Amino acid sequence: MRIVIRMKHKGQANIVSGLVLAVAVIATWTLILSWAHFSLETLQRSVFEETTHGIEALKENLVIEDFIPNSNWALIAIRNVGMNNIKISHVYINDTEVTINSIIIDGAEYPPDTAIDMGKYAYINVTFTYTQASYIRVTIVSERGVNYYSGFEL
Amino acid sequence: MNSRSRGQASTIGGVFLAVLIVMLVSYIHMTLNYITNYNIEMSQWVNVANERIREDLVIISIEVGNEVSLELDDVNSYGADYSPKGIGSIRNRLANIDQRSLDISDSGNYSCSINFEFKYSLAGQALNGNVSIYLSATGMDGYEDTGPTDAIEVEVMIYAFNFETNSWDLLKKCIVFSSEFKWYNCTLTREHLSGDSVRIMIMVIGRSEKALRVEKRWFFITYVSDVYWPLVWLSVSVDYMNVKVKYFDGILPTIKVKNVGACSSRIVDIWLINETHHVHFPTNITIPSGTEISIDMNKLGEAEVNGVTKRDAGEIKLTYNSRYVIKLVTVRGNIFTYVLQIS
Repeated sequence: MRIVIRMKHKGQANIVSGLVLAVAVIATWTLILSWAHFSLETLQRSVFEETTHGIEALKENLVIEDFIPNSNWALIAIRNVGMNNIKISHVYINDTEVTINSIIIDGAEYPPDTAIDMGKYAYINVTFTYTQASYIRVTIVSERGVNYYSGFEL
Repeated sequence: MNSRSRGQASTIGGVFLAVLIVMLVSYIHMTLNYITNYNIEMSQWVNVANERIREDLVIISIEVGNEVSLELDDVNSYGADYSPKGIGSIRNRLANIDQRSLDISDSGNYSCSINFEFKYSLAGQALNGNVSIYLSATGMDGYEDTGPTDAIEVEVMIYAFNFETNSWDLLKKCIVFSSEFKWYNCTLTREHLSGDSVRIMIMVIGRSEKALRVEKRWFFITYVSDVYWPLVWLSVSVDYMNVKVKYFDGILPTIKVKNVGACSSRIVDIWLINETHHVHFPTNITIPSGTEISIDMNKLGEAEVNGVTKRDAGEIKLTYNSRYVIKLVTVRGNIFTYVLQIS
């Protein structure tokens, strides 16, 4: 009788310990998998985002064709010759930032944050105070952070 | 722990390990896939960049202005002791030119000269020109009593009158010993074009040994009654004469472009810029590698002036004494810039 009771208790203990072990193993693996997933995904995201951004920036190309000054504004003629659409974020004239008034595409005026499609020709209308300088240096910064320079003699 | 529990733990561990391996393989696959795409995109970008670097266009010439042709054909004239007959008929042949004058002069027995003056009226500023003459010049010498007996060499000289220095500029000089007709092509500069006339002189000099011998002996000759003086007979026949004058009338230029790059180029924008006007011509002109094309800017259609107004290319005129910058922009983003000075 004593032996039977001990066997019964021993069986329960085995089941409990088995379950505890299983839970512990599952929990450990879940933790390991979560950590691995999180780490790999974070690493992947950062690497992919960085390289994707780099590639997108590389694929972008813009040519500044001309600078047409007026009394208080100027038009900068550009063409998107890259493999991506481009948004203009900043324009500098002789290293001074100027306000972008509008983007003119096919004769129609659009807000400054309008994307310029691949192959499209456009004018950037900027605020410009007439200067005595005989040389104008235009810098255009795209939303992806790519800088485009060109110089014009007035 | 009994064997059953260990088996369960191993199974669970194995399943998780398998999941982990699948995850890792999946990540590696994704990464490789990404690298492959990256490589494809990078190689495309490198190709584009490579083509952009290797693109090269050269403007061979920029033709500005119009050309008028003043033609004169079949003129015969004789020097020495021949009378200048036929002037009337020559004038008739010059009837298509506004005004004309023809002068045949005899400056001695050894040379003769013919002067042609072309009067023209142009709707613009004369820039340059050229004269083409198809003529035959022959010479013979002999004595007063015998008449012409021997063929001699003649020297043909083509002059144009320089209106700035008020003198004749020698354009071409050559020696001929044949009655065959020859072409004489000479370039005229702006100094030879007064604005309404061009004066061309053809001078022919005979190289007579007999005459030269007499000249050399001149100081030793005493008068001998039966000595006959040597004479030179010269004949000049102008079969065709053409004076072309290029003048500036403000029309847009024709650009000759050669693609000397390694790949074909597409010109998408042409700019014509001076101090006051920035004219933009949207175009779509493809030039295969190694080929040459002419772009008549008058036929480029609608243009944007200063980014605002639109005008037809034919309405846009160039100004004399101006400096223009011509820019050719290709679809790859290369800009080829040339300076055009009109003066």
